[in-house]
Amino acid sequence: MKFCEIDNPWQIPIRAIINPKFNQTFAIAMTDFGSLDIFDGIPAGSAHFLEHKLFAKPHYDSAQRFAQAGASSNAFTTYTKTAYLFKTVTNVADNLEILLDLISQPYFTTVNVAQERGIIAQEIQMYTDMPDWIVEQATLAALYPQDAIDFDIAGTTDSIAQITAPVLNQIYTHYYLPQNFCIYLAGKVDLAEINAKLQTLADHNHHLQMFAQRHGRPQLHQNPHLLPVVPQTTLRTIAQRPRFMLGLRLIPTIKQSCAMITLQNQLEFLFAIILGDSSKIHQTLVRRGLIDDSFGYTIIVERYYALVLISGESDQPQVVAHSLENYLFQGAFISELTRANLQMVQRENLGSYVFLQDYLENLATEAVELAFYDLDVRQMPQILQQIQLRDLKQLAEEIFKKENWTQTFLYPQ
Amino acid sequence: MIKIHRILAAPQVQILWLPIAKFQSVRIEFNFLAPQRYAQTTQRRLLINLLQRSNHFLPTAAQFNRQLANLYGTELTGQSIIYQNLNILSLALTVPVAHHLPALVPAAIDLLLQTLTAPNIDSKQEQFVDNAWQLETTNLAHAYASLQDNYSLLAELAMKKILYQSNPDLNIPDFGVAEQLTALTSMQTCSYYQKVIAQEPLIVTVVGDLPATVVDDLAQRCQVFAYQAQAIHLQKQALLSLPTQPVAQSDQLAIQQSQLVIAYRLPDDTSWPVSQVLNMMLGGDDQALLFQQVRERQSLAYSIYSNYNFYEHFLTIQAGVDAQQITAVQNLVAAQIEHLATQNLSDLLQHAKQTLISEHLLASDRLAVHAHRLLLKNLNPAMIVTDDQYQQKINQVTLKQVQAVAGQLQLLATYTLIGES
Repeated sequence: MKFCEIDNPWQIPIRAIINPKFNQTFAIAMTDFGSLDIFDGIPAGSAHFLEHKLFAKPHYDSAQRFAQAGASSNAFTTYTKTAYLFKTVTNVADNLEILLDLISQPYFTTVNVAQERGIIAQEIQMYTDMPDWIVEQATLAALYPQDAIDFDIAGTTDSIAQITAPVLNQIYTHYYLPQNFCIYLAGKVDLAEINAKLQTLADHNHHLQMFAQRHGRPQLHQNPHLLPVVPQTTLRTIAQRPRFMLGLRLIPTIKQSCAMITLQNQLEFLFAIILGDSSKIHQTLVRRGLIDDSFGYTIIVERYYALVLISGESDQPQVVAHSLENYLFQGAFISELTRANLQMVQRENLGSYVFLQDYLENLATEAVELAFYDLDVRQMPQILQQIQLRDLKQLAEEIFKKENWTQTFLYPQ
Repeated sequence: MIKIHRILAAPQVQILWLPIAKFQSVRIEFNFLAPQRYAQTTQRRLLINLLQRSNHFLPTAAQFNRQLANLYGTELTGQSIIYQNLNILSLALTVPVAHHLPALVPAAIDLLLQTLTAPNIDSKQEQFVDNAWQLETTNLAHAYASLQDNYSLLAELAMKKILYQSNPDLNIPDFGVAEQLTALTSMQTCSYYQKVIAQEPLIVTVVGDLPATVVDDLAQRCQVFAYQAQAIHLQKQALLSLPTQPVAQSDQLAIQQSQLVIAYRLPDDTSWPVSQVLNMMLGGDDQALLFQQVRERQSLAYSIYSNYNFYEHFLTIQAGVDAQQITAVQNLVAAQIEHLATQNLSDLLQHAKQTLISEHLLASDRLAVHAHRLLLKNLNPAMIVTDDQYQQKINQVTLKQVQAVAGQLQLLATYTLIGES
């Protein structure tokens, strides 16, 4: 596997992870713009709507172009990023051209925007039948009242009704800038072919030339609004079993974005040790019949947001919440923070990095995300190995604060 | 092409090894084969769950997980699947390959074999230990309850019930049903485990760059399995009598989005390449007729797709739609089938072929797919799995063949789960 930088005249960081043993080439173009970036006049769900609609072009559709060139394409939006991707076994350079065209040429009309609204409304409707989604939305709203993270990435049926072609044009112009993008290719990559294609595009592609000339410093939603946390939310909906989600928000004082990735990994280690399926509390709760395989936790670190969501199904969700609250806030987990446990999670995570190399999609996606934190994916094993027990102990002392903790319970109607 | 190594470890124990050097990990899968029986389906799923989480030497899930983590995140996953007349019980090990840790793979194999030969049963060898039994039965019962919240899966299972009613042994999800679970005992399941180990033919697939001595040693150690087993064969003919008149069923729930599933009969003599191309053109991807018409043009669904069952000759279409739009979507689906049967869709045909070939090549980039192909090829030697042969067969499909089959699709059943909210 070889890593390299691909020069281009548009100042877009384009990088390749070359592994000729694979049949495929996976490519991802990611921009630092996501659902959190809603400012005055930008309705919730705009980043996601733009992601859907950017495929529309005058007289053609980018998904169709990818298909004609033998690639399958897709896109996704997260809280802070939007990504466009393709996977192919053929015509890599042509597909890269389509990807560059996709991100550099918007075409939003009243008609095509209205058409997309119906599709996204169906997507939102689909989520509202998912109890896990309902409980997560409520937890985020309780952790960050009146913050942009309150809204689902897709927005609401009301907010998407406000998204129009001018709104999409406005946010495209503001955020879709060359320096706000990063592109990774992974797999079978012929550098000579790619370079030749980029040279041709530089000479002849008007849209890309225009795109390259655009500069600016887009306003990004870097830090969360920190109004007081709503301590408890109770919901009733159609569901078979009661659910709980416990949320913990962190207030990082970090100034460098790359330190957020160190924080993320420290959180992963800490929670694997104190709440993972080898921990004593996990065994105790299982033995008492309070949790099952649905129990788990998610660590979210994006820009300067950092939070932990602990969730599961239980017949006694309040008892689980009470047990975990006591365990976490009274420091009962301290006996778990041992060298042997640290070595165990370190090994497990190093193994995950080896596995990652067999999944080019995941590898490239991880690499492109890390690029926004000024990190190279190859640095990850070193970052993992540098985590010390004292880091975890210090982190644990800092983060477990009741004022940053919320509990959501969902009961069957 | 990389040569597959075959080792007959015992009369009913085969080791198939693909020594491919492409991946950074290796996969070893144990597949125990039994005839698919309705009554044993849940027991097999419960058994594999019991085996994958603890054993005699690591009797708690915590100890077992700790061992996997210390083996650099080695993964051990079990599943039971229904494949035609067979129920395949699989335990798969995926190990990262680190050249500075040559003992890692042998240690992971030790764990796998230990798990299979020394499960978490009591000293009298009569039943699973209480903690393990409680944990797995509770988890499975909860999983059954929770799948009632997955409405697209509920709709899919409801359609399966309609289509499979002629063959009760097959008319059950791979993961079993709650009613059977409550009737199972630890003693019965322990006795069933002993039967599986002794009486079921075993196919072990090994994919990855390993020293031959490791595979030889594995073969040697596999001689303890299947010592009373009889050969078992995959039945390639249809095992269902599909409904002769269209069936329409409907349920209502207080949910937002309705679920629609429609099934069509494929002519019995439809070849697998034609079935695959037709399915791709109709509802296989984002360029397919259904996606383009129902989603892109009419904005009636977020997703709509089709699937086909080659052995049983049917095709299903599924979408999540607004309750008021169910009839409109049904009409659009019928119109797309008519369109496929009558219009000159040469470009779409080319796209479908190219996509299928690409997907096949892309799948060759996945470790687990190689293991799966080794197993399928062994069960059905006529099955095409190599990239070149697959490409050739798909490229031979003509528009006329697809049109002929599309023109003969017969409506079998419609199931709607109507959202009342």
